[in-house]
Amino acid sequence: MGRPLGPVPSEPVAVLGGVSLALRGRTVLDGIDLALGAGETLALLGPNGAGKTSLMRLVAGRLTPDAGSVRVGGADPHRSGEARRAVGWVPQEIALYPRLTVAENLSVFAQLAGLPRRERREAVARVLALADIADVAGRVVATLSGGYQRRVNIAAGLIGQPALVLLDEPTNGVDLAARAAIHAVLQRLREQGTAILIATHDFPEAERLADRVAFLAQGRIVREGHLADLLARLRTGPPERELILDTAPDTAAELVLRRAGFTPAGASGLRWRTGERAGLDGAALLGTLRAQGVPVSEVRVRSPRLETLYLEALRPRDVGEAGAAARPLTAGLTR
Amino acid sequence: MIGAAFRVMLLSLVRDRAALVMAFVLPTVIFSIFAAIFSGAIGDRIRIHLGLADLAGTPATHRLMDALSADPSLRVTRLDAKSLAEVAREVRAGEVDVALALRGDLIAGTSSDAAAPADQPIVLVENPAKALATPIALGQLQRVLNEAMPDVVLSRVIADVERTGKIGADERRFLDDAFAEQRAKKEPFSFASLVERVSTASGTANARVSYYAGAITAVFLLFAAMQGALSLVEERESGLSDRLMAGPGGLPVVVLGKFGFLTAQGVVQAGLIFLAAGLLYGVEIGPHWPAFLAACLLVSAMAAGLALAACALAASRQQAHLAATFGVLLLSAVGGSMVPRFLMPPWLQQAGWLTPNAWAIEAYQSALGEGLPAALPALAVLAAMALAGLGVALASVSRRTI
Repeated sequence: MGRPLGPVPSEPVAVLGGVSLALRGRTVLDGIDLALGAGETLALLGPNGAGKTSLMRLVAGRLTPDAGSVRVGGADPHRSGEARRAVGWVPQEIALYPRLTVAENLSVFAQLAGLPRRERREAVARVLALADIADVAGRVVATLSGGYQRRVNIAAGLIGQPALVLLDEPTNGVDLAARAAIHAVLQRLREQGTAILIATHDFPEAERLADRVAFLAQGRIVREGHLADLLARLRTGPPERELILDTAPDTAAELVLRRAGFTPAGASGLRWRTGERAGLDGAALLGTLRAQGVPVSEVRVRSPRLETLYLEALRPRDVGEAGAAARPLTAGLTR
Repeated sequence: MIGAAFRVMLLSLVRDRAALVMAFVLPTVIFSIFAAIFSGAIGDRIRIHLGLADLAGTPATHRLMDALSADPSLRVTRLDAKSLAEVAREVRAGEVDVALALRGDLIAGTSSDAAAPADQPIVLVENPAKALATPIALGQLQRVLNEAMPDVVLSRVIADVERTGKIGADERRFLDDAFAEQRAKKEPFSFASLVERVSTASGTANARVSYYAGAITAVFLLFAAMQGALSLVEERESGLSDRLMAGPGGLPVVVLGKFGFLTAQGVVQAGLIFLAAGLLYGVEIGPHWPAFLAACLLVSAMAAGLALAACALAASRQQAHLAATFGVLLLSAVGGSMVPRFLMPPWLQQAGWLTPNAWAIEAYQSALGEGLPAALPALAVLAAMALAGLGVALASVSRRTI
């Protein structure tokens, strides 16, 4: 069962206990424990292939676990149509009929969700308002902008008034305005008491929306807890420092960076980061590193955020202790 | 829920103008073209292109040339050739399908002439690529000789008898004159009309046209159903299946909705094809309409079921496309939708019963020819195919997890 780091608002909507899953002989999920209460938003963070989408498919009843149990509203969503009805699934892709209008799409999904004819019109009006897309109700989906398509995609998952909504990277590839609009929709949902499970790569999004976060790596939950608790603990620690380099470091410069406790942030090799306690302030660090041949152009100092926690949780455990142990840079290093 | 999937198919088709036109205009266009091909290929008049060269230039060869040219079942071109080699060149070049060169007089010589063993005044020059033209040309030549020049045929017979010594030259001349006189009076020669033609057709064009109307309906509905069923693959690739599978009815209700839509669309398309058959070729549905409707419904259901099964089993869009094109082409070729099955080798004719096309053709032919009781076996096979296809499609999407 999930570790109750804070009070769960009510009876859990979804509970995963000791869930393991293998697909085509490969372990995808291994011993997952999670619980999600009504009105609670859980952000699932993890690299590609960590098992986020598979976990969502399990909750949606699309897959059944090899071991452990999945319960939605107390029933197995793989077997119970009633349990599936309680789940609204918003896939990563724009899963809409492109030649149908927004209202027609929503009406079709209402029908597929088993809503009787007399309730459909009302349900469509309700999600149009909830997602703030009533102005495009009559437009054919294929003619809408990407941001609107995303909002319709979410609205379609809400048509059956689900107690739990699963969102797989809902703001993938949209502009800031559309992203804000989507966040507003999710905020409204949360206020209505809907439980939300959201898989995302977007840390600010998770910080803004989630009550709890779970980091998933190689099919296991490597850290999980209430966002506020996790961030509070981080903020009592040293600030995070980020270096921006002019060019990718050569071998010698890289060694200097690693010895000083920096690790690359991103694939370009131009951003390096550390949360280690430092002996030098920003200006001194810049001078010291430059003197040692590291092409640093900028040093940023800020309080640690969710991303720091994530990188820390996903960092292989044995790296810190092996070989070149990180040690704080001091002025004495410049010989 | 099934109605929702039906509605999606209908709205998607209505919004796609090009697809809409193709779905409901193409059936009649394709029928008209295929019907013209079929009626030329298996109708009673295969009008081969016959080349004629009169190398002898006798009165009898002139008569034969005129008789052949006047025959409505042949398309004749008089070749301006001076030798057999030139005739062969024309045939090889494809100017004509087959050629007849009249190199000697048709009237047999007198008894004093040496009876040459190679006394064959007509040479047929054939092209192996158009082998079918040879027996047709030979048959038509024999018919025209019997009908238009019976005296010439008989005179050759009498010449043979004279050569055996059973009759003398005077008697031969007497008989020749008698035959010439009979021909001049236009009195019929009994040997020229030994055959009376009796047809199984009951007055309407049903027996003649229902074969290829059924054949074209089967192939068209299979193609149309495959195109419609491809939406199953598209929905899988666009993530729609993810959403649909998460619903309480899952994908099976979507498959059922598509099955219903494709069957209804097929009935309309089959109706349009037979409407064209009625207007262009005089096919009458009349008293056989219950059997005809049953055939339309079950052929459409069969096409929908098989197409959905193929698309549900296909792991990718490419696989589905291959099944849609090559699979349907193969079934249609073996099943007689392209070449009539009676023209195929016996083993292939037998293999044809394994295809849905053969049963669809059989259903339409017996429904329009004899009515419902005669069509029942074929209708039962079509219903079984439809159910089997639908069953496979439902089982396949129920088992699919990703």
